[in-house]
Amino acid sequence: MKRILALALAVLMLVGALSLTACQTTDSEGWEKDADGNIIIKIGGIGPLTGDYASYGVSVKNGATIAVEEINAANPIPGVKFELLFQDSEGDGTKAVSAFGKLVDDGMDISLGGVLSGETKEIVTASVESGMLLLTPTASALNCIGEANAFRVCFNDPQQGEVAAQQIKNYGLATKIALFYDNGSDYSIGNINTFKEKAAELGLEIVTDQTYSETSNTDFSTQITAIKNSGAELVFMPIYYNDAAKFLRQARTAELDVVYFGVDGLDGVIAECGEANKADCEDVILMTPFYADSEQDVIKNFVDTYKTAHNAIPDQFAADGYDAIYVIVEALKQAGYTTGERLEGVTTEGFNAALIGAMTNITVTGATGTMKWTANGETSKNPLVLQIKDGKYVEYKAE
Amino acid sequence: MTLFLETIIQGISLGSIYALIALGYTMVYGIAKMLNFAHGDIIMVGAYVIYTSVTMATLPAWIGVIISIIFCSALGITIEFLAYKPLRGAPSLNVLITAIGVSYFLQNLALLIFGGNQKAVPVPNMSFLNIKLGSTLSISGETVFTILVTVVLMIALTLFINKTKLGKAMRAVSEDRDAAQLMGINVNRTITVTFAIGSALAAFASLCYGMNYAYIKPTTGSMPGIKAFTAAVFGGIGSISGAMFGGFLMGIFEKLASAYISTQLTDTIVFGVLMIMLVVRPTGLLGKKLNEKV
Repeated sequence: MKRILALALAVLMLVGALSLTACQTTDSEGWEKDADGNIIIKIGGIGPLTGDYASYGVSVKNGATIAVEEINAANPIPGVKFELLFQDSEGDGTKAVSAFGKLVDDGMDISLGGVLSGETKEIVTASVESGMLLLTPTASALNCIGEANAFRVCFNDPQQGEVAAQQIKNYGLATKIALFYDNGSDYSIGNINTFKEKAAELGLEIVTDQTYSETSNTDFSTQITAIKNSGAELVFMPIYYNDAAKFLRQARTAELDVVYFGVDGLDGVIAECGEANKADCEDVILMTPFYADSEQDVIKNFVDTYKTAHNAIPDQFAADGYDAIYVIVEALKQAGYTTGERLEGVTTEGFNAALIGAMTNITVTGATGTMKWTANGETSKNPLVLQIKDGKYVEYKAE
Repeated sequence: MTLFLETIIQGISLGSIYALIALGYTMVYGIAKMLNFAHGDIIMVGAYVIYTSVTMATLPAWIGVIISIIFCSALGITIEFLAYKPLRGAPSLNVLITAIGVSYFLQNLALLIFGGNQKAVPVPNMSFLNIKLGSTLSISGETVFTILVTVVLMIALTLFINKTKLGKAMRAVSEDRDAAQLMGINVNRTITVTFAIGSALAAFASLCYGMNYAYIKPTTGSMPGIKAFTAAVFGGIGSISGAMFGGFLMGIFEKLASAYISTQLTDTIVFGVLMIMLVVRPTGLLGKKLNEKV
């Protein structure tokens, strides 16, 4: 019996060893190729596909998938096809880092970093050694990139906070402002800090500063009462959509009559409130660089394809994911990889360096606006001010 | 003054939910002499039952609530039968660990079926109960309903325990299980009924939770469960009026602490008060004085 077992194990090991060498032979040829001899460039994304922030991750994945399909059909770089690998992080930094390792093992060539700021920060740290280009679609906290290989498609939190204060002033929305945010979240704090500075500069008065934390995000009645009693005309809430849905429900029940103003984390709140609490979102204002009802061709095409594929209107996260893929294609072309042949024989180090170098020299007009990059990975674009009317975004117009 | 009154009202509303849950803890403890840590998760299950029957099966909200109450009672009986009955007579530590296991089982089951995203619980609209007091103070219909439900259930439960035959049996089992058995009381059946009632109360709690907070997740039940357990200990575990009292006090403390001290330190303060309480009066607020066990 023992002998049979030993034999079986030996056979198993032999098979294992053989398949390992089989892998190595394809690797030594350089690029993995499909049946038609096209080089396959693997783009690896990581984000929450389940859990509290699933809406963000799913949107990014869907947006990026559409871009990959479009590009593979249009074939802008002859001899090169793209493949998107996407791993679930559940919004957890540790899981995101393991996912990054898994993607590297699966042959990832370019990383989309993470979707959330927290996880992206850890992925960036883990990616430095590999040296590969990392382009996060949506991680907006200031400190979450900060390495030479890391770039982002979205604007960063301090930019958002500043622009938010400016827009509130420009539209004359309020002079007395209440703040409501999660003081354990990098995202909220990043926005709040610059918002406060800018508000002071513009003469907007912050009348109350109300916070909550991850462990106390169920009952907001104390904060709502405080906002009510502070005489605020507007509440600035740089928080994520799931907490926002809870806050809005309770604020509406308590008849808190103010302007609700959020930033891009609020994107997704309409779906979160659902049919049951649809009225909660009515008139809420948010800033996002993407507007699905725009007349621009690039946005129209994207929105139509997305609607057909997922039976939903894409949000800003989907648009960022979509743009990220086009940015990568543009960077490849800029780096001189205009055909598959030019990629032959290129070393991994050379490929990474060329792409990172190309990032600061490209200009891409995508669904979220026109973007250029600085060497520290930041981009600049103009956010739009949108308002929710009857369960849809419309461009905000002062009354 | 308005702030103070508003805070007290919010505290009573929150306390009502704690009281409803604490009742379940205290009844089971009083009669079966065990801490049913899965009790908090029954609330979560109750809320998901409302969600499933209203959102997916498109039944009216009230029907969903009734289904939820029946389902939770049945679930309570099933859990008792499968997980706790075989351990009758085993050391209490074994039962405690089983209860924690059941709690995780329910949470993970909900995670598997519904996923980790929060869901909106469709609850009946209560705005017709809104009360306006003066120009600044108003009480939402949800709050009024929560407080009403709790008070009515408390009275009903007290009457049930004191006036009915089954209630008498419960008190007897609580006092001395062996003696009760010798007197011809079916101890197993009495404990089953206790679980059914406790779980039905949890279903009411899930309705009130849904009304006040609107969104649920698989882990929704655990924090209110812990707080309600604290409330039960605070009031004197095993005592019905203690659970009620403890629940209301917990709610009011929590809201006062968050309104006047810090929204971040609320839990620290509330649990700190509990610790001081246990040092000063180890039996809880009403534990010894009334000596009234369920």
